[in-house]
Amino acid sequence: MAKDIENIKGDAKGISALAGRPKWVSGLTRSRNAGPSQIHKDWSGCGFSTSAVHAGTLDDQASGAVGTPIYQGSTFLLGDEQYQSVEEGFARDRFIYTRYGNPNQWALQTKLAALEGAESALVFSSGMAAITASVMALVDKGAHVVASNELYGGTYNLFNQEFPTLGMSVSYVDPRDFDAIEAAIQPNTQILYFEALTNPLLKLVDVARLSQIAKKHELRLVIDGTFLTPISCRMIEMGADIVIHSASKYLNGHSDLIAGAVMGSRKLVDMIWPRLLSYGGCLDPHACFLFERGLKTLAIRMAAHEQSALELANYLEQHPSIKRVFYPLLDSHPDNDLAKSVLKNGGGMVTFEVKGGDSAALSLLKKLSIPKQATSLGGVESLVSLPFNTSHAGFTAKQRLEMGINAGCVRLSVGIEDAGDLINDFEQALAEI
Amino acid sequence: MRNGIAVSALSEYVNEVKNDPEQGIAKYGVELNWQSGTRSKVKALPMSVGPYKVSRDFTWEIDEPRQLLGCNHAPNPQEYLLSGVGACILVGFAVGASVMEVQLETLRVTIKGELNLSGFLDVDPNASVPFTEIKYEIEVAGDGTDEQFEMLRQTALKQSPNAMTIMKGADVNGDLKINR
Repeated sequence: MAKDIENIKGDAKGISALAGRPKWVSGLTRSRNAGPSQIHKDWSGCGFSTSAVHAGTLDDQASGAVGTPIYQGSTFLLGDEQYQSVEEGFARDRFIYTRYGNPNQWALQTKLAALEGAESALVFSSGMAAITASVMALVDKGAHVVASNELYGGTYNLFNQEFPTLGMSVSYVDPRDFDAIEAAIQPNTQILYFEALTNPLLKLVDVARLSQIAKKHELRLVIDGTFLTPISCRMIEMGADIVIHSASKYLNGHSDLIAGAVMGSRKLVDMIWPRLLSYGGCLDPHACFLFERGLKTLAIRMAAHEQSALELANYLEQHPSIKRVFYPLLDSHPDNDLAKSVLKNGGGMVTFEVKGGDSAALSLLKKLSIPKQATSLGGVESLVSLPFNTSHAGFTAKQRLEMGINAGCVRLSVGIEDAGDLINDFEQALAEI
Repeated sequence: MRNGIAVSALSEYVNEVKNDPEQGIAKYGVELNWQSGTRSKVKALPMSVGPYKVSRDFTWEIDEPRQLLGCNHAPNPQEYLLSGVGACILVGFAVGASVMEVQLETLRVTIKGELNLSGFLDVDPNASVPFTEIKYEIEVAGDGTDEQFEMLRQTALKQSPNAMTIMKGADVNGDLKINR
């Protein structure tokens, strides 16, 4: 069917494979393109802020309004090109129904892919929706996964509670113990699943090394990059097959949105897309608008996070009431050599141990006036929480000790507030505990 | 999707293999464990497509009819062989129809073979051990022309790895491992 590609409602590069009237599969002409996107402009030669502001953003053609309008519609007009895309299996390249794709999702996805240096991206209604769809796309009946033993609780619940029901299994290993990771691989292992920076001890995972192991054993490497962002390191370039984010954190950055994102090759993201459709975790257009607006300032936000986090970490490290501080850019961090070689930005997460244990840590939180006691992270405002009564409340004190989470452990997501103000706030709070 | 085949994804894979032939290498394996008598249990081993593993958590049984000293609890090795050839032809036919934009309504492949068991039993040196002929019939309904269906028949046979393995043969090499 000949189509007027100028009027394609969707990605004009996403065309039929059957144009040459083939008689067998060798005559099929369609290859994979980056995207889908309404704008195929290469921003790879530009800096992060330029890409963050411009990539994928679609000025309104009808009015000239600058910025992507909110396409708050659930459905789209159907024509021959939509019917053909469904018949031939390239519906991801056309606008049909917002659960499948929407201009706001595409604008955002194009921006995310540009930032990560990936061919394709998908946005989801939560980080867990992104994780579930991605993992389920990459495993088959009876599959086994090798994962970090310091996983985000939601991911652990997926693996621990849902996987056995589906006849799948997971082995948990120390992300720094490469021998143990290799030893855990079984004949039916299909993916390695790790977090770029662990919670709460901020262990920096060596993505390039994990990629070597994955390739050696014919596995896919999935990295949850939530605690770091492409501003810190581009994990696809380091060898990850798929990078997943809870975009509710740094990518959106304003603690006003729940969203998830996946970046990777077009081939793998196309495999994840049907799971997004089946599991239903699509991101609403209005949420996409908020997310796109937040993402535009990612690079300058991360610079501010890093500046305040590093200054505060240095301050805390010399304070007599603090036992230990974890921040990747501190010389004392166990992964500092790796951090120096792979991180362009240390991020905003700082973990430290207060002398006096959990009660002293609780007291500190009550005395702080700037950081808010709340779960989550990556927002412009500093957020502080204690693993023992939040993320790791399900473990006993002994189990937490075995994991390296000592009494008095505090997880601090440093916002973009001025470092001096944060230091003054900690100074007064620490003086009172 | 026409005939349930995503020709766009197929096309992308075909062109990926053109650029990177390693992606077209598929490795398979099964493991058979003797149960008792003529009965065995088969487990599909993890396969790989290109440089990536795929979990294959499937098991099935194989047996012989009582007339051939089995319990008739499952299809026998010859039926699995024939079904492997027939399914392979069927896949090629359905894929080819989708590529040629032919909508199928029904598709049935019947495949039959005859063995002279005197060969297996080695009671007649002139009797053949293998099948000497395998006959298939493809019964199809859809919106294709007679010429298109004939082309699909020929192409499905010609491009079928299993049918071509039967027709052209393959080396069978093996080892014996004795556990004491």
